[in-house]
Amino acid sequence: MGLLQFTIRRLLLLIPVLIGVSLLIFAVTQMISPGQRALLYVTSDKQLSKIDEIIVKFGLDQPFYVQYYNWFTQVLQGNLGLAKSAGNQPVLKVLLDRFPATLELTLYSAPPIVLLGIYFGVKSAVHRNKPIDQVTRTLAIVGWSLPSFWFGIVLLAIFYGGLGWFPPKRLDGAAELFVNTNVWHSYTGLYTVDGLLNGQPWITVEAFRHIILPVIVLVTINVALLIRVMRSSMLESLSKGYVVMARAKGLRNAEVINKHARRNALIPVVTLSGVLVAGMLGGLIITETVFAFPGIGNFAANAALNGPDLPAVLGFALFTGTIFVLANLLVDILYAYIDPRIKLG
Amino acid sequence: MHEESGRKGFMASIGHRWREFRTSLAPQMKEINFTLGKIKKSPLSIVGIAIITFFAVLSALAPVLAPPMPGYDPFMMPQEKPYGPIPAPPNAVHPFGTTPFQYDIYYGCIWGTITAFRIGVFVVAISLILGVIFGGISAYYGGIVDEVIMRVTDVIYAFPGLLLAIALVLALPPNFVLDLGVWKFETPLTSLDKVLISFVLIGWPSYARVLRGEIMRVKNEDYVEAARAVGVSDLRIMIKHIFPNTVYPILIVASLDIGGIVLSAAALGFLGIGSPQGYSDWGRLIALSRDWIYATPQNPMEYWYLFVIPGLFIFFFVLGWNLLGDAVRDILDPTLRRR
Amino acid sequence: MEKPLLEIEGLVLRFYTYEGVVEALDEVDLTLMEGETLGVVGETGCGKSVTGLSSLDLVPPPGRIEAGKVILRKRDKKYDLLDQKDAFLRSVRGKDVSMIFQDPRSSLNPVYSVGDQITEVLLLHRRVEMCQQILQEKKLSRFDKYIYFHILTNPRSIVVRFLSNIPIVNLFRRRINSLAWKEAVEILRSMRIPDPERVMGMYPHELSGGMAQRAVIAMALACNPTILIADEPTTNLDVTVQFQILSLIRELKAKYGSSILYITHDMGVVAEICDRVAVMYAGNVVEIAEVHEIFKSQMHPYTKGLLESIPRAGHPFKPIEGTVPTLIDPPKGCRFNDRCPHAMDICVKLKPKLVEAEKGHFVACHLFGRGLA
Repeated sequence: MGLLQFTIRRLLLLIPVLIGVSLLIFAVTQMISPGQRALLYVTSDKQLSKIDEIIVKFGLDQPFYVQYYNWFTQVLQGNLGLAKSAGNQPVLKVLLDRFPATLELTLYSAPPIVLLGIYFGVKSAVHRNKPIDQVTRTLAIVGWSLPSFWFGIVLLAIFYGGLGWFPPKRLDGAAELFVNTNVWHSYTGLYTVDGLLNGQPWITVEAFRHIILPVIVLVTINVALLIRVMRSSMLESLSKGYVVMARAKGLRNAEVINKHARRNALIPVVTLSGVLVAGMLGGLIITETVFAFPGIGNFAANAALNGPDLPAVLGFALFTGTIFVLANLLVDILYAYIDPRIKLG
Repeated sequence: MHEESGRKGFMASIGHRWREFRTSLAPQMKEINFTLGKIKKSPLSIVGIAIITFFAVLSALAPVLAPPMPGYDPFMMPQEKPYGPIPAPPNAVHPFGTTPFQYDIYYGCIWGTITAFRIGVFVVAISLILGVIFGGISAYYGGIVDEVIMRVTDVIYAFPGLLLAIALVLALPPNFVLDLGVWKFETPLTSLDKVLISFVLIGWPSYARVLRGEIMRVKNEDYVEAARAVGVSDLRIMIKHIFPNTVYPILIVASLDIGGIVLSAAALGFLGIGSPQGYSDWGRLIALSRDWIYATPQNPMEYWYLFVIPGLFIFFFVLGWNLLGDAVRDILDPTLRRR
Repeated sequence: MEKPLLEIEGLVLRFYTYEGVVEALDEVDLTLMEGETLGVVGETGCGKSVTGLSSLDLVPPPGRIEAGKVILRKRDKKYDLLDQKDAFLRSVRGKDVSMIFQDPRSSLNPVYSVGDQITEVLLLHRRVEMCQQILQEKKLSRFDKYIYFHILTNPRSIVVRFLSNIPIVNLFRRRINSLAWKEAVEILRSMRIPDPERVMGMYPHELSGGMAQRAVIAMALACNPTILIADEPTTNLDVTVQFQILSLIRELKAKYGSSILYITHDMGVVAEICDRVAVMYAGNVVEIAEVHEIFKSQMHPYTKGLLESIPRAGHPFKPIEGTVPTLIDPPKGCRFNDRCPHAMDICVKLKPKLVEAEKGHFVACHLFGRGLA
């Protein structure tokens, strides 16, 4: 089957998974008793006494499938409810407003993670057990063992508290005021890019200053995983027959490694990278919270801990779940494109 | 041979069977010795083991190193009256200083080691058991059972874990109730219990999938077919052939997982989910430091002890397990073993 | 008088493994004459495969060639391949000496098409020749002319490599790539592969075993090597395909005049296509003779045992008693002494040298100590 057929087939399989995802989220929230959920609609003490009426009014004691149906039909119309934790704005609007921040963070973290991971993974595999390998692996494990919030705090204490170079949040002071005026046009939603597009390079600089620490934290911690997978995949590839054959053909060592071995070894790495990016897009809850970065992860953490703001958490979970599943689909397609064995069945 | 031992009596036949058993185990023993030898030679794994041992000793000696206050739960950190909100730097009475509201950081770090072990080992062990059960059922029965279980794991996988953990912790009821009509079992669930349960619920799919994948692979190997052709019973095949060849990847996942679980638990603690305030938990300790990170411009690191020290505990604990897990992974990988 | 093309002298190969040092090759001497097919036979583990690999210095670690020479005669000059710089060795591999292996599908890279892999070797070694061909074409742009002339005079030019990586600029490669592609199609056609244009675009997993092996042979012979080292190329194929591949090899040898070092454990194949045979046992060459000599009057007891152990209908099965010794701490004297029906005292103590017992018939055995001296 061709690439197109493959894509269509996977898209169709997407639907049951998405339904399953929404079911799971909904089921989790149903675990909270109707009384507690009714509390969320309460805005005054007077209403508290009439809680039974509220339960009936919002259908909180209906059977599971009825509630699910009501909720799901609303979702399909784009209504994810109102976010109490964000001034009762529609959940979907808040999520879409905040998504560019998370996207920007992902766009600057993912490429270094993938590229550094591939480069050092290959180097480690080719020079197995030699010093470069040991050092790389050790540094990678050290990076992976760092608690992300702790690392973030330490960096902030040094570079912001101490040196004042790299502040938290996404923008502040004059820059923040500026981007909320009418003069500013949000072309991509990414401040680093829009700064240049608006002819205001200082905004770009400011945006970079703010984003650099979270990026460092994310890259340091995640590159370890990629190095590890690339390394083991590469080691397996190097032991295959086509590598000897390539050498027997007279190819240079660099060509044998990069053209033959690495290309095969990249396959599982591509999958992992895709999953990683999908996870990042789904909200970097801890990192955004530590750096007060206004992305969707920060929003979700806030909603969950101060409330809990159920519609917000539900909406976020659905939003994230969907992105995750779509990203996984893209990864599968990319995988099929790279590995001819999959495409052609 | 059997007639001989029959003539010599019952005890001799037992001795004979034991020797037979020993020699039949020889190849496995050789493998185990080979593995242990490689572990001993790899510097990373030695460092990892050393670190873990250090923490184990620390947690065993906790009552000695940081004596709990009589009458109180040993896991609650002692507080210095008058519970002032400003943290105090390390001094003679409190070697690591005190947090806002005067919790003793030293005490929290020491007893936090026990907490960390409990969280890590409990979650991984239960996840592993559940995962093996479900993975085994899935692989053994195949068909619709397999499909259902795999779809369930797919859906759980569709979420970034931390979010699901938070959601579950929020959603789980305050009491665990098991009502069978004639018999009712009820126990309160602390916040920490909920964290552990949600980690287990999110964690078992990994083990189930790994085991299922391995069983599928081994099931089709020639030696299993050969055994079946000779008439070996299913149970024997599972114990003698399938189990030894599928168990290693699970151990690898487990050893790498403990570090990850402790990190996630600390992250949740930092956010405020998990053990109550005052509990000896590294993540919670750092949570207390959130408002004191920047201090004053003149002396930004004035309250460094609030987060640096507990953070170092987390870091080294996780590092130890990760070093060991990584080394074990490298050693047990069959394609890389014999170079 | 035939001239020797490849002379392996005193080759010593060791593998440094966890279990100990494996003495894989123990002073192996072999000579491949121009135009002949020399068979190298022996059971699994006798060292025939690594002999082939060592000739091109392709033995992977933990293997190490400790001593010996592999002398290649190229254009009437002799070169010890083990002593040459890496660049020289690479120019020999695939061009003067090619090698093919046992499992054709694992020799082919699964992510590249057959065409890509054949053109790869063409572009690597026949670049200069193809540039000359291109420069004779009529409608050549100035840029193209300059570039191809540059490649002609400086094949390894960094400038060219750099330019090849720039997206639009590297379209200059189109000419040489399509020339290589056409050439590859013709090579596949000469391998008797039906519909070669289609096969060029196929991927290795889509090919049958026989087709895959033909593709591999195509890769190996693409640059007309003088020597082909074939390491059990038909072992993994079924008998009918085996027959086809063997006749193909015979045909190609006649057409291109190459010499073949054919490594196998199958005496039947040896009888089919070899001119001379070298018998190996436990890392030593024990006998070398012409094919009909080997079958008619073997000298070494191992060769005798080997031929007698071939199962024949109506005759009782007669294997050689005992097993091959471990090569980690091999026996000091003749490595066959514990299984040899004619073993003498000296066989345990002293290793027999390979001597020319009769004209053109070499044997390493104390039974034939004197030789033609």
